[in-house]
Amino acid sequence: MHIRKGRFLLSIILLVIVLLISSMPLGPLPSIISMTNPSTGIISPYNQSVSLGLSYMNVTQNGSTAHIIINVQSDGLIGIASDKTWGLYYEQGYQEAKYRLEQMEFLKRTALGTLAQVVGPSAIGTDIFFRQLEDLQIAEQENANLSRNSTAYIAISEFADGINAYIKSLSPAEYPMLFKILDFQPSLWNVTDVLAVQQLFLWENSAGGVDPIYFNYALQSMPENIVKGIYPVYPEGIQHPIVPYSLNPGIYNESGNIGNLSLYTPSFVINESEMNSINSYFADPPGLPSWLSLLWQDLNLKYAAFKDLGSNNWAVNGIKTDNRSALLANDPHLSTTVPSIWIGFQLVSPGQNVVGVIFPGFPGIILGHNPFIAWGATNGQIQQTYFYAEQISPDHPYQYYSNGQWLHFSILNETISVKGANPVNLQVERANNGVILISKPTPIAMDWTGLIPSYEINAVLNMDYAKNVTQFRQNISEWFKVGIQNWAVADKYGNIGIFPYGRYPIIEHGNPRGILPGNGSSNWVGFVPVSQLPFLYDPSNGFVFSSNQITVSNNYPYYIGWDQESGFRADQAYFMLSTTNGFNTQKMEDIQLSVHDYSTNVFLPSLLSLLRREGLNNSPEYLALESWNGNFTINSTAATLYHFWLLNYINLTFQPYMTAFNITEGKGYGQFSFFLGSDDYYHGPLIEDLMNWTLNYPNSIYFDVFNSNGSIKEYRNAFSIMSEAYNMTISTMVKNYGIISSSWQWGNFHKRELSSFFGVNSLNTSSIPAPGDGNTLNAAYGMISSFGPSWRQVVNMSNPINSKGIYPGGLTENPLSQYYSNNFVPWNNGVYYTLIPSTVPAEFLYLYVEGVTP
Amino acid sequence: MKNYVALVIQLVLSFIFAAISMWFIAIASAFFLSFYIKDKRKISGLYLSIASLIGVFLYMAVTGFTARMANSSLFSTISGIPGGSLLLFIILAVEVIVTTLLASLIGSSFYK
Repeated sequence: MHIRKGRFLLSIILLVIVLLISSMPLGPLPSIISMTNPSTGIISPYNQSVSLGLSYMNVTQNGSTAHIIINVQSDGLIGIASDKTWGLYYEQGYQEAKYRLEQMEFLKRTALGTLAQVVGPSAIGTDIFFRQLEDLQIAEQENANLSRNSTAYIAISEFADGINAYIKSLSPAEYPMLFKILDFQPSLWNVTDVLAVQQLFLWENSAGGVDPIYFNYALQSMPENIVKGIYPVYPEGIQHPIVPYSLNPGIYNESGNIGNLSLYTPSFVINESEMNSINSYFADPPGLPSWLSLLWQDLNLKYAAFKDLGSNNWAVNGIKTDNRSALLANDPHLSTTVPSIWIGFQLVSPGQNVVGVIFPGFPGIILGHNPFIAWGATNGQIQQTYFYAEQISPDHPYQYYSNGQWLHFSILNETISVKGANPVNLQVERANNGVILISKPTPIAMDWTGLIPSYEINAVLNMDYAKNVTQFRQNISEWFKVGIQNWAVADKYGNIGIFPYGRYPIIEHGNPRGILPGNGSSNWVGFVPVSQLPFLYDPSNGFVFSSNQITVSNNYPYYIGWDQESGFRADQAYFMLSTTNGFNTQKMEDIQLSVHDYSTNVFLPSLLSLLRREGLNNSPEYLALESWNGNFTINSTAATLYHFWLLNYINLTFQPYMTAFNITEGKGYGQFSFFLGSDDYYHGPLIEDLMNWTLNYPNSIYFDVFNSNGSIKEYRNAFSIMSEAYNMTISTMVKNYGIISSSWQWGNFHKRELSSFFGVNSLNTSSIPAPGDGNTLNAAYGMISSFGPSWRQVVNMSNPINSKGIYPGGLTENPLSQYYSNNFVPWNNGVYYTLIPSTVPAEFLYLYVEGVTP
Repeated sequence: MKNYVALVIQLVLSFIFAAISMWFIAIASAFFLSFYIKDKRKISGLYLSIASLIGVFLYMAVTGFTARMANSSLFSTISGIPGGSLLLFIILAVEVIVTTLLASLIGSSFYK
């Protein structure tokens, strides 16, 4: 035997090189061999499909068999009926996993702080934050405290079993695409995982966020009279509180704490080095290496925060309806994503028949109705986060000073695994007033109401069974503590109510709008008692409503936060609800789809008056504005003109404050509505100021330009700034789009899209012209809006089986399926689906029709 | 071993290996087949590698190309790597040809 040595050696070397390259992971991607495997790789012939229609199955556990009917609908709702309640939750888990496994895995990993393990360095910041929130540890405590025989424990454990049954049924070839691309297997679920996801949802729905850290800079750099002028705790303009004094004076009787607080001066002063630490903490985490980013620009998968920007709900009772029944409408404004942050179900088992939506990874229905009651939620905007600067000393390492003594931080050592990089070791410190988010140079602690174990899962599961408003209220007051919602409810007996119940922290000293001293003087001393919490039950005006506006009148005795919306949606809702009678489903839908921006009622008359005085009343722009009704329809040119004018008016009014007081990007400029963030035209105090001053004080000194010492640099008034803003707007529009014409139509500028839940831009839907803006009830925030009514529901409790609803997106997370985004266009066009179609099997009519069993 | 028999064997084995998630074992079969072919001058390693390619792609054709192409297209979309639905197929084809060709070159390096 002879050998051709040259060929042999060269071929061997080349083959080894090719095989090595082929079997190495490519950054965040698996190896080429793995990706191209025809049986199990990305090009295997499997993808998640949607099986519409009915199917029947039996599940047996411990000698008990559950008979289950599943009805998968094209509108994104899945009906599940079972003669055993445990079988119902088992199947719900199975179905959620079947259609949203990737999404659930990401939610769970986000909650547990293990996202970087599969995504890589871009998720390190997210992982650190949720480890600091101790989601896992709190979930473990909650799990340990749950009775094994409780409804909640059984529901969650069956739900997790259902998820796991689906995962185990998959071969690697059948894993959804993201698992293959990121080369990892779906992990099994347990009760703690579900409770950790609960913590994530509670955080996302907790108002306040990190605002106090940045607002502290305004408190310390602006004179007190200016802080009072532009950042009042209670806005002076038009406001329709959710629970006004006139409708429930009983909750305004206590002495409260607000009189003891110093809400316009700082309790702690941040220096430059501390500001730098804060900024580096909140800066974007490191992403892919640059050379890799060039190659895979979009493969920066991350958890898409919900961005809870606003919502609407209202209920009307017999005073407002001809047939004496009650009706309810709700549209929570969250990120509108594909896959949707919601998944819809009708759940039927002994004692319950509930239809609505739930976050994937969670059992039950959180927003929906049953034959007896309908309910909906908006964010309560109650401040849930308080920040503290801890006092430390080199003489007392690992300790902080509190109430006259040095206490040890409790320390949790964590290791975060990072795909493609070294693990990150993290030391999570906790004081008695919160978790330390930033440790140097001064430790900044965040106290959050969610750091105390709570059982909102009980509230969710119990509300699905509730029979009337009173039962619902009792359930919420007992179990729903964190991520406070304005729960609006209507029942079949004609009762209505709204209940923003939960933990409202009480402190006795300091300024909770900024950073508080950590020495114990401003720690929470308790929560507002339930008897003093705002609520309405069958109010005399015949309706309850909320649009994230201010919760109470200005004489409410407790400080509850100041993060409310501008109030324009609430103003419009109040106007329509108070002037409409004979409510039916159609009238409720008309309100929900309203695209009238109430800010036009305030600003437009002033602008038109100004233009007349300036002799522009024959200009085509004036005529367009003058004949406009304030509706942001897609073919309105005036809407475009008004929108950009209002933005300029706000910016020209408040920009000088940012300049004078050195509020730069590093101090939050452009990030927060109170520092001219992109949401300032519909959220926060600046637009409220502008409304109030324009209407009532057009010559207010707050229109002037100030020096940094508080003296006046330039005199201005509302009209001079409005005029400048108008000229600027016309000039820009003409320059960029020509003279006023159809090219100025709102729909050319304002569109909606559904953004990828995973942050992969290429998986977004295309954008389509959309009516509305950030101030309309049918809200479409921003110019390419991916936030808005994430679920629309209208229920007439005299005929609840004909309830209507829709959520954007579709049932499945598989972008290749027609049910990925099939509801997007109908939703944008204002279409509603009947949630319980007339064609469903009889079992789904249980509790609606006598004699039917699940 | 006759040359056409070797090609058929390589094709069939490639089909089977692809079906059991291990198409790369075809590298070994390419080596052994080229080692045992009597008249190595009458067969190119390229033929063996093409036989491998046909075997692997035949398996994919039999089990359905539509979903595979859609998945490849989705991967291209998510990763941002151009190539669309053909991207991974082209990579796979190149990989099969190169590796089996090199293996057959190694096998044919031996002669009496």
